[in-house]
Amino acid sequence: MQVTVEEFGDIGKRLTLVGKLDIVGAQTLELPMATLSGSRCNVVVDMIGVDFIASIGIRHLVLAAKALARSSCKLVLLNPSPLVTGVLVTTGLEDLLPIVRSDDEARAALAPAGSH
Amino acid sequence: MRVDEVTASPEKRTFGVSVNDVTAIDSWVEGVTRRLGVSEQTAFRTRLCIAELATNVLEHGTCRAENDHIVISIDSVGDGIKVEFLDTRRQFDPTANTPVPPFGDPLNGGGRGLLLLHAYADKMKYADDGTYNRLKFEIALAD
Repeated sequence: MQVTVEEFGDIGKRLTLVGKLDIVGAQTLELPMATLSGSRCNVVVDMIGVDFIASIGIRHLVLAAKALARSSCKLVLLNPSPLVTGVLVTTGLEDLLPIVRSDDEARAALAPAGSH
Repeated sequence: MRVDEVTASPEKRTFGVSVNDVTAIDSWVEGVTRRLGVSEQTAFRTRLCIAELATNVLEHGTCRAENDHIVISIDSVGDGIKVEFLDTRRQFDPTANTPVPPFGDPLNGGGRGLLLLHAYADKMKYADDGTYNRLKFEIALAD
């Protein structure tokens, strides 16, 4: 699993994942995700390069989303593949881990309530 | 990782119980599904179910044997893939309960792997023979 972090405009960070979000991928993700969770900023997790996901990977995303929510920040998942989307939907976590399909959708999802 | 045996049909292999083994299991399953020529979706579901079982053994299983290991066999059947997953840890029946969302506290992550297993695997049958937890299941062929 390759993990890169960059700015996502002026509203948060983009965390780009490439590879398998399995037990090893989850370990790789742990530190950067913990750092972002503590940074009190919105996070867009770019999932287009994730070709496999298991529950242990989902657990790390859930933990990050919960931590960010405590700081009134949000986490969204950008463009997971159909197979990965199927797994995420099956777990019933769409509310906690909303899926968006474009940068524009991500911006809209992360915008403060009431803003345009 | 230990690799004790490899056979042709069904394909069968023995692994240890470690993070490296869980990774090796997935690579092996990926190769088997490729050789069987199944669709990407069928391969993905097979990999996912086996990864969840192997991770569960590693994270939650309690040793009951010195030679702790996992044995997996995979074969093609008429309308799907047949899997037998054996592990030497303490008795645990993943078919005993069917988790349904929403379930538990999302913080603890409990049950999500079993939920996926129940969602994607068919015809699950469990037995404990005193040495192994033996789980058989099938993954239906998908386009």
